Amino acid sequence: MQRVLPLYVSPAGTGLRCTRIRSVYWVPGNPPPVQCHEAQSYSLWLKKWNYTKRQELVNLSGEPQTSLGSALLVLGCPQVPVQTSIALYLINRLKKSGFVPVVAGNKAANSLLVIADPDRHYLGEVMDLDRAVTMITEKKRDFDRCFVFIHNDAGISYAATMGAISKAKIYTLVYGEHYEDLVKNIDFPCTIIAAKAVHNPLPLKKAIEEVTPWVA
Amino acid sequence: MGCVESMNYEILMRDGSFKECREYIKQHFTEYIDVQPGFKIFDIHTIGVPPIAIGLDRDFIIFPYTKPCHGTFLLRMEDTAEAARLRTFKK
Repeated sequence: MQRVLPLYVSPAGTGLRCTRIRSVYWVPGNPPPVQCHEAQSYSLWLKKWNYTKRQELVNLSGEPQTSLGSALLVLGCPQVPVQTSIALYLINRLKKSGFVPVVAGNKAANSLLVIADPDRHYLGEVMDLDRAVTMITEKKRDFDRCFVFIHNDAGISYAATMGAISKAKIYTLVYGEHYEDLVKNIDFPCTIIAAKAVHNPLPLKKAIEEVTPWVA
Repeated sequence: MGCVESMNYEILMRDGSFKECREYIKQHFTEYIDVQPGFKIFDIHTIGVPPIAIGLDRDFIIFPYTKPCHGTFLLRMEDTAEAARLRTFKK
């Protein structure tokens, strides 16, 4: 056992304030203590570490598995309620199938998810949408699958952009009151998953389950 | 330059669809270029359905700017150097 003296610890990516802890006893082989600028508490970080390890190593049947790849979820404006619910659902299904989900949205869309899942049981990495576009365009990062949430014309623009800049397989999730009109405007290669869903996420969930985009 | 908010811009069209913005540029400006999504203007990566039309009017640049909640805006900005750079992409 090794004693590590005062450091700042963090559940990575939470954006929560730093907490200075007095000391940490670290046993080699156990989750390592970390030093970084954004922090909450070591116990929370430990919880997240254990959870991530469990998610990485065990699939539904309890057998070890390797990651199938990464999936980017591009969120639209959160004014239609089903988006947050379906995003969490999709993240869960993707994780269980061995994908590493990453969420990209504007501040409001991201906050709805982060605040609903403070211990990050479902959420992994969350990033700003403009930053995601910049990183993919500049070839600093790319994904294997990309799910774009569409309920307005801007959503179609973002989906077309992802199709042009990323090598990912594109899935468009089209919902809202006028979903049929939006589907007619999608003229680029992608898998369209569409349903009339505004407040009730079940029709869209059902449409997603018919396509099973988490299957390798 | 990075954030559009910090720049001096004029909004020619707001809450329009991407298609309407493209048609507006092609109808109102004789000089324009077509670019692919992700093309950089003023350090901003353009968002849209390809091809994205960018209008040029002397030192003014007219381009679509998409926000997830507010749709597509058609912005007009003056920048001599950027206009000259964009003209080099003309076929």
